[in-house]
Parts: sequence; C-alpha cells; structure tokens
Amino acid sequence: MENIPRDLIAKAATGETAAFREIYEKTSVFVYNVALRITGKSNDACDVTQDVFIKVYKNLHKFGFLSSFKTWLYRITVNTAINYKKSEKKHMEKRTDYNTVANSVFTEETARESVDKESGRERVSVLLDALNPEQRACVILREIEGMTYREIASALGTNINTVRTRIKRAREKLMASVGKG
Amino acid sequence: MNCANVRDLLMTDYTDGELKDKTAGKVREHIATCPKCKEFEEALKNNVISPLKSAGRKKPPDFIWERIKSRIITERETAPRKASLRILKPVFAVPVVAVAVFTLIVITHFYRAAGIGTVDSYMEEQASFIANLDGVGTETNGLGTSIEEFLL
Repeated sequence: MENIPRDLIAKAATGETAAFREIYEKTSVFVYNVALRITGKSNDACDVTQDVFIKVYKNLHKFGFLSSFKTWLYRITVNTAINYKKSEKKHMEKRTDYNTVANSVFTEETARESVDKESGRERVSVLLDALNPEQRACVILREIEGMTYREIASALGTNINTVRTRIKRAREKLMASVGKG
Repeated sequence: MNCANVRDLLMTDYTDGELKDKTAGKVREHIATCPKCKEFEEALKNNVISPLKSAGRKKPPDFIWERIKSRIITERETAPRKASLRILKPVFAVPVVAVAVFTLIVITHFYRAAGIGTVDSYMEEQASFIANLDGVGTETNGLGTSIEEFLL
C-alpha cells in the first residue's frame, strides 16, 4: 500500500471529499483484496470495503498520528472483515434448519451447478476455506500483502508469537487439506 | 538441528525470512543433506506458499466509491441535526432548564400577584356597590351627587 501524506490525511479529516477520495484511490485495492480473501465473496468484500471507508471517514478527525495511518487502516480492515465473516457464520448456523429442508429437494441439476461453481472458484479461495478468520488474516497479510510478522502483529493488535502460531497452524491445515501434511 | 526443528522453521520463520542469517544457514545445510525435509519444503512451497503468493489483486468495483460518497453526504446532512441535539446534553440542559424554570416562576408569581390585586380591588368595589343597593345606605347617605344634595 502506498504511503499516505500527512497533509492529505489532515485535509480529509476536515471533511474535504476530494482528499478523502484520494486516500480511497491509494488504499482501496488493499482494503478490497484483504476483505475479499477473508470473506471469500466479492459481494461481501464490497460491503466490508464500504464499511471500512465509512469508519475511516467518521473517525479520521480522531486519528492523532500516534501510529502509522497504514497500520490503523490495516487494523480497521482486518477487524471489519473478520467480524463480518463471523456474523455471517452465525447467520448461516441459524439457517441450518431451513437448509436441511431445502437440501431434501436438492435436484441433480442444482447439484451439478454447485459443483461447477465450486470448480470455477480460484484455488486460493478453496485453500483459504480451510482456515478460521484469524488464521486467514495472518496468512493473507503475510503471503499476499508481504507483511513481516511484526507488521502483522501491529495490524492485528496482537504479539509476534501469536502471529507465528497462527501462520504455523494455518500452513499445517493447508498441507493436510492438499494431502501433504 | 533435527528434522522436527527444521520443519517447524520451514513452516514459519525460515520461509518468511524472519530468521537470522546464522540460523537460516543451518536450516539450509540440513535441507541439503536430508531428502525428506527437502521434499517437505518443496511440497510446502508448491501447494501452499506459491498459490497464495501468486493470487492476483483485483480492482474494487467503481460503484463502491459511489456508495461511500452517498453515505458521506448523508452523514453530513445529519451532522447539523446532531449538533443541535448536543445543546440538550446534560452539560447545557441543566443550567438552561434551571434558569428557564426560575424565570417562569418569577414571572408567574409577579403576574399572579398583580392579578390577585386587581381582583381584590374589584371585589371590594362590587361588595360596596351591592351593600349600597339595599337602600339603607342610599337613604342614609343619599347618592352622593351634588344635584341630589341640592334637592335634599
């Protein structure tokens, strides 16, 4: 992610839409891709990206330059995406009864469509399905964003050992899921 | 350094470039002489690391900014309303309400006092007038006009 100049942040904090748009242009690819990898769905990634930038807009005047803007944005993005994923999981669990009934009328044709959709998904999405949201976040920030353990720990508000453990567990799961563990 | 230690480091710090050069060198030496750890490293790279590292980045759809802009405009429109509501926060509301109540009490008292005085004097006049209607007063004191005094 590009560095964001301090004066641009200050301008955006006063409510200047053009300055805020510029921040969006510089950071939205990162926010959207992290959201996409954590939630696994492009619609959800759009919702998360929107929520992240609304949170940034509302809280920019409170940002006191005590930490890096990038770290602040990483944390908002990852937390918003993880919470979204968790709330979606809860929502899906509540729908279990409905799905049980729905599956009983699952036709051969819809089953074939489902398999096709699954095989059409990116390999990376299928791999990440095996991980919990916290493990996903660590792996995404490490592999896709190329962040160091220290940067990941700072972004997630945790310590380096937790990051290391999550990455190790995630890779163990991934190795097992591809039959090499 | 044994195989278990090497595989732990392959899963984390070695692969991610977090090891000091000296320790990384020891891991490299072990892999060079251990076919099983070499195979493990290749499996890890090919099946786990590479697919994630090579995952492309996608551009967010343009409509996201439009949605954000629309939410920002809504936020701005509702902001003055929120600001006016702040006046009613306890910090401002308590003294303002206290002064208002005090003023209301003083004004009410003043007008009530003035109103009662008017009523009292009116009642006195009416009582006096009614008392004079019974004729006794009239006969004794007359009507009190100069023509009457002249005729009497």
